Amino acid sequence: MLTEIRKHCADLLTRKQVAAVYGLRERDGHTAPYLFTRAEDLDGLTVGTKVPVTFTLRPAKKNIISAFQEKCPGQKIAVLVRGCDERGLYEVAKRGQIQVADLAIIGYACDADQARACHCPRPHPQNLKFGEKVQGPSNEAFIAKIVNMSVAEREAFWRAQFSKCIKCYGCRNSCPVCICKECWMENDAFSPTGWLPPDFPMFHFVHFYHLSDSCIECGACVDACPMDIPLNLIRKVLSKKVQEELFYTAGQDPEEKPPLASREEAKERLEKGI
Amino acid sequence: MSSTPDNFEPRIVAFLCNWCSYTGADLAGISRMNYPANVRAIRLMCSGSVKPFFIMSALHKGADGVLIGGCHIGDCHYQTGNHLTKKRIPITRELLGALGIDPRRVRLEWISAAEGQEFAEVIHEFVKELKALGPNPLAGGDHAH
Repeated sequence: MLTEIRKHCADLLTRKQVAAVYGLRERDGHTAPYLFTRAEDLDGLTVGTKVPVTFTLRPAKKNIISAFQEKCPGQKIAVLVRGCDERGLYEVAKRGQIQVADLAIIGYACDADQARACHCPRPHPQNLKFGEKVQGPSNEAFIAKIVNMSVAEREAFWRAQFSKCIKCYGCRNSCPVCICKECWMENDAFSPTGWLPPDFPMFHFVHFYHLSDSCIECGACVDACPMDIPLNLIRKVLSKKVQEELFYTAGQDPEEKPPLASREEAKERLEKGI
Repeated sequence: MSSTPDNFEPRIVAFLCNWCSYTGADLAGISRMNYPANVRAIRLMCSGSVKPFFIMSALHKGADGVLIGGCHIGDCHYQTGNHLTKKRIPITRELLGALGIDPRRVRLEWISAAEGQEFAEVIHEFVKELKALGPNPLAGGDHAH
């Protein structure tokens, strides 16, 4: 798969169909996002790692692609994405940060092992060009752990988990769809500066709620958490509720409006008369 | 406040919209209807201005229940403010439930300015429910501030 992707990208660059290819580069054993502008650099191009391609630049609170587009408006950039990267791009596009029309999205599918490692239910992008679609593990089985607990058991579970929190803001900083300029997690009314661990559950409530209709289930927050708090348990519960209640799945269509920020009822709701 | 089950009096923070629910509560008052004095009403211009963080904050600071009162769908003074509330509250309740806070402590009711009777009934019901649930385990918070 990798050789085909490299060949395809080299082709795009030499025929000047795109100004640059944005993807992952491996160098000296380290993998990081890189903007390839010369075809000869593409030997370093790599895929199939857990390193996210799109992320939010701090403290500008801007998606990395958005920064490119601001610097070189109208230039076509090819982006190599997995399922989660593509969903992340669509979510920030909905909030006006990037122009999807100026991107050439090249998707590749993750294999079953990767899907299992990320608990990813949709391990393939819509613009799938390379690789075979595989079925990801179901969320139901994953969230059963807390769904089957009683309310009191859940409270005890999360108190224990969140007491580990060192308030490093890693979950927020690693999140590709967390782009608010003014962050409620920094608001002293919810989690006073200097208190460790943060009050249960104020600090985490803000983050969970605020991303409930934009979480793309990429798992970046869990990977970033140095204390191994299973944040995706709650994220997946909320994503399920948003699907059932608001008939909305994050990252599907860049033209859709985020439901919690818009006043319109979902058409499925209106059709069912609920 | 004592928390023994027999004399436990729940504290309810009620976020009421200026145009419907607050006026409805007012009507209950001027009509001399009896309802438990467990409610602390906070008047807002619209139920759509109740951020879920306010609900969480009230529970965290010791409220045993939170009531959100707004205009019936279609009657919003700002056309669509309560449509936001209608979407937010179920998600908020789900999140509270997943975190281990009983979602029955949060209640959304559409109460119009003419529904003083309904307001009184809602408070009666809610107080009864909260007495059965007992004191809010979050009350007091982890740190005193």
